[in-house]
Amino acid sequence: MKRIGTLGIVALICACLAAVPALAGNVVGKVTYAGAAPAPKPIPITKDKEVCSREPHVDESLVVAADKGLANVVVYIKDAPNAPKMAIPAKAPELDQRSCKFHPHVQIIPAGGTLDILNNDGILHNIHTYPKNNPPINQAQPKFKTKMPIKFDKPDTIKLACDVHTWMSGWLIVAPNAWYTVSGPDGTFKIENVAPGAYTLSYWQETLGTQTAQVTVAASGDVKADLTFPAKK
Amino acid sequence: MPAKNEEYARSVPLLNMVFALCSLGLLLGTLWMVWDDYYRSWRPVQRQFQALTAKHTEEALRQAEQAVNQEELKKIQEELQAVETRSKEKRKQLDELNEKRKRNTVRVYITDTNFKNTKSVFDAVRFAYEELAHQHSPRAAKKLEELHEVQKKLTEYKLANDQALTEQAEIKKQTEALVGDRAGLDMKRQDLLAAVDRLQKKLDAVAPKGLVMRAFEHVRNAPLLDFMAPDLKVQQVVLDNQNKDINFVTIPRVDRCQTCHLGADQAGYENDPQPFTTHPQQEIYLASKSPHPVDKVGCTVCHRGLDRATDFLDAAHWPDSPEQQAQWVKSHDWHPKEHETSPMLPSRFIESSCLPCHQGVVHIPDAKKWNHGKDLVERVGCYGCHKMKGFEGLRKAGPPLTRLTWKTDPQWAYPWIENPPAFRPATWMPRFFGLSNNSSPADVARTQQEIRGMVTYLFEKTEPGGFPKLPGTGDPPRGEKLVTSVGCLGCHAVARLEKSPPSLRRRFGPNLDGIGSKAKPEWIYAWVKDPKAYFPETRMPNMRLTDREALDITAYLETLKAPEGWKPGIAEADPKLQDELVKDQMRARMMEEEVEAKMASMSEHEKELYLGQRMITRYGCFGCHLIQGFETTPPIGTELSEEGSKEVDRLDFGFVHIPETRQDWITEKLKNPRIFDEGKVKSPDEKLKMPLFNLTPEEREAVVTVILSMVKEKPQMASTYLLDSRHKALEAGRRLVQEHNCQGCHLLDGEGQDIRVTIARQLMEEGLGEEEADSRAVAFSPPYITGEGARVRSDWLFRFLKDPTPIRPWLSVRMPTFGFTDEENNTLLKYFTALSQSDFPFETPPVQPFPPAEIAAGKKLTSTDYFNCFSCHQQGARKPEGDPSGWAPDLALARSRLRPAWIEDWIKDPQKLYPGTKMPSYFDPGSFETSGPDDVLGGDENKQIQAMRDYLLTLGSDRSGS
Repeated sequence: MKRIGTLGIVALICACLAAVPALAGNVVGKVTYAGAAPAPKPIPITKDKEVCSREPHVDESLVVAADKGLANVVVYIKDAPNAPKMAIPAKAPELDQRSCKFHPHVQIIPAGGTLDILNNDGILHNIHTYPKNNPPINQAQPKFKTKMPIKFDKPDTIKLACDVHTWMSGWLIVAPNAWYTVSGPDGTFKIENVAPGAYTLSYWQETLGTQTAQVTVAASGDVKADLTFPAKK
Repeated sequence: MPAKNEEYARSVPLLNMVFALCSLGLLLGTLWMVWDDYYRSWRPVQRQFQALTAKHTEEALRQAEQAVNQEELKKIQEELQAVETRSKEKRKQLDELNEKRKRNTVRVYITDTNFKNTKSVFDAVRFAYEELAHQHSPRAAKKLEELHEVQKKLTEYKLANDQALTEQAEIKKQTEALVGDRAGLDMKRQDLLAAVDRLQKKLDAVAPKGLVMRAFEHVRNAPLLDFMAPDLKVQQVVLDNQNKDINFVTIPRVDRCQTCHLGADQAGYENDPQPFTTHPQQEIYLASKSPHPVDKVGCTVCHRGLDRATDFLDAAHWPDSPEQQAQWVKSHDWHPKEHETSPMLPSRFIESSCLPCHQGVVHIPDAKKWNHGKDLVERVGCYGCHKMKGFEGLRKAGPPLTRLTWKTDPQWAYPWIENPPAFRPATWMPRFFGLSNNSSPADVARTQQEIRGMVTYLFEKTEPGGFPKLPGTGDPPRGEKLVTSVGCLGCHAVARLEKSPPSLRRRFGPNLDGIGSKAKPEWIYAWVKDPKAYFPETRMPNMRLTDREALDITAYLETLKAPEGWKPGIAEADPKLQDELVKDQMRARMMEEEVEAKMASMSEHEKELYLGQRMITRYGCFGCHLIQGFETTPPIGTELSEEGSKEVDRLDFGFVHIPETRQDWITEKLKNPRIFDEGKVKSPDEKLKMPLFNLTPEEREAVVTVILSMVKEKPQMASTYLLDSRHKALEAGRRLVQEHNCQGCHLLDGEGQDIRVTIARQLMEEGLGEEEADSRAVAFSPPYITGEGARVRSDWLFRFLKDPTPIRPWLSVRMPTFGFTDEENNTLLKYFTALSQSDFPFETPPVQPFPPAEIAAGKKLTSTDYFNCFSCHQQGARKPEGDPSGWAPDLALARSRLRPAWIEDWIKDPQKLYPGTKMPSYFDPGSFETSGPDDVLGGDENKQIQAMRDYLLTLGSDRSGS
């Protein structure tokens, strides 16, 4: 009884906080690439062709839309000690290795959360991580293991690979807080519920590295931040 | 009493005065003597240590008190209080119970005594009966009756005793029920306060409280009384095994260092100042369970100094740095102890004390600096000129000069001899000219003629012949790719490729800078194809390069040119000066007339040759190089085998003001080998001639450590580190590993794989991030082979070492052919098996046919539906799909190559055996029981692994039919 009471009070406070219009704004914008859009480079499939060729494979390391919008850019607020922790969702986020390709190519998951790695290809995959802070993983995922949950404790930027299918490449961002997002195929992004203040906005792309921009978030409403990566040398 | 008017020869009152003064003087003198004998510098030190220990103990006591669970203590005390109160309240009942208990205690005692007495009677009667029965005596029957009688009594007494004991327990229970369990509570309280009590006792001992105890302390340490039980006293260890040579007689060492260094062997004084600091690394030194327990090894065997001294200056302390010296001068009025032949070693050279006991090993465990120094001595080749015990039988450090014309030309050799680092800054070849005692214009003019002579001699005394023209032209970029990928960089460095200074193992072979300005392309081509053809003793292995590859590498190496500003060429001849020099040399060996006659008979060229030969003799070039005409000439340097014991007065410090110690002299000599000539008047031939080696200050210190370690004193057998047969096998292998620089490529014995940094660099250049490159470099480097003895079969390894074949298809780096002899091969096999503690030499392959059901299960598990092993692994002629860089070793080789037990361990947890391997984990060590498939072999993971192992062992054998 007592426990439920406490929980109820906590829930009530949470509800109140949610109901009261919080002092928070959103950072919205679009990331563009200043250089020429590279032509999509097809990846030759050399192994398990029957399964892997179910989808077309192109190099995803730099995907630029017709209007120069840049996909798969991780945009986040740098040095944000007051940022809330990213909530761990009830259903774990998934990383699918469908047709020998990581879906999605870049994914953000909360620190301390679990990632379900799926293999519905019916062949052997092998998830191999190259982390900075978390322990490295080199785990085989044979046909009979369709789902493999793996927990990531520390904030990190992790390169994903598969030694069986050497072309497979993906990135996992283990976020320390909620003010992280990844740009869509058209380059647009939105970081929601940012407490008002002046911040440094960082944006990272796997082949272009990290850039920063300044942004001031108001007590409510959207602040626009259009970001650009200079052309690769 | 004498009468008043009696006469005396002397005035009595005066004499009385004189005697009184004398006795007083005598008394004072005695007191002074006693005090002087009593007051020693170590006494206040021991007092300080007592105070320090008291401080630490008080602190520990405070902490222990805080750590006590106060709540529980309070509870126990309350309960005890309650017991007390109840006892008072129920005084009457308690007294009754106590009375009862007392009575019953007597009963217990009586019944117990009765039982024990009767038991001995019973044993005696039984013995008597058995004796009679054995003799078939008619009295046996009667005795048996008696025995039964006694037995009955015994049973009765036992019963009575049991009853008494039961009653005793009952009384205890009643008492507890009445007032509570006092004894149990007391016990709990004691347990809770155990640490506090122990520390309190210790504190009472080190810092006695109360006037009486303190007075007692003073009395027992008082002069003259301190022969009984003082707590301030000299601490010493007598070391029967560690003798000390004091001229014509040896005596055992008696180390009294711990008289002041009281905390050295105790934990807890790590952060206290000297002399109380805990000795570092107790697991290795001083602790009784360490390999160097203080009561067997002592202190001065390693630290040197005077063992029996109990005073700071007497002990011959030696400062580690100028700062420490300044501090000591202030605190102890420090100055070098006169006539002390063995002052203490500054701690930066302390590892030089390991060698006398650790003989016959390649490296001394944990002695990093000494090991580094030893590697450096081998690399720079000190032993070429100086005889050094332990460095006998090594190959000359430099290449042979007997086929010089095949490789290079005089235009290159002249400036190289004159100043090697100008051509190749990181070379091991030392510099002889342009140093502090031969840089004046006159010296330069003379040395130019000397070098001319040497070059002429070397290029004249060379085998005729040369290498054929190149069979084609190579492609430098392709050559660079080969140099950076096939494994050259495990032993060689190229300055333009390096991001940080290469490690010592990567400086095993010469650094390749400028090779294109030095060696002829034909020589490079022939050399990389087959090094032993040119230099049979070379350590450079055969990389099994194709003609095409060798051409490409040659083309690339040709692009590595000399640094800007370096010019080939030979100094002008100066016949007049040359004549002078030649005459000077001759005069030392013949009469003036003979000199003139000989000079007149010689051509210019002959004179040049003569001068060259004399100069090669003088500088000792043949110590490191094989030179025609000098094949058996003995080395020119001082023997260094006992340099660490050499008397300091036998070292010539000249006019140089440095501290007069061995280490300072040797350090200075290495820093500037000609410095002790400064200010002296010497003829050119008398001048010092040791060359300048290209060493950093750290490297110099390491080399000095090795030279200091070569001492005359030999420890007794009992105290040396003896090698058992396993360790002998290990050391023999380590010698070969060292000689062939295996660790330049492989991680072995906990060290090596220096090549990995170059592979990570390559991967980063291909566009990988730093983490990914570092991580992938593990898999793309030559394999870890520390566990090779457990991994592969000895017979396979024997064949592989003779003729390596690629095992790992994804590696560009190649295992070279070293050309080991059978004996060397066996040494390596024994080494690997000793390292892995596995069986030597051979393990019989399993001959029994495996159960077909198991093999079928194993086959199923390796199939695409399960572990899909052949997605990456080759299986004989059956190759996996995709690029070979993604393939894994041929499993058809498992049968002949791998040890079955290893296969099992490997499948179970590859990352444990080989952190960073490409092989993914199939079984999760964290949840092993559930990580295999459920529908094969009943889901039993261990059985699954065994089935796969057995299946793999059937592959590649004709019998399996595959």
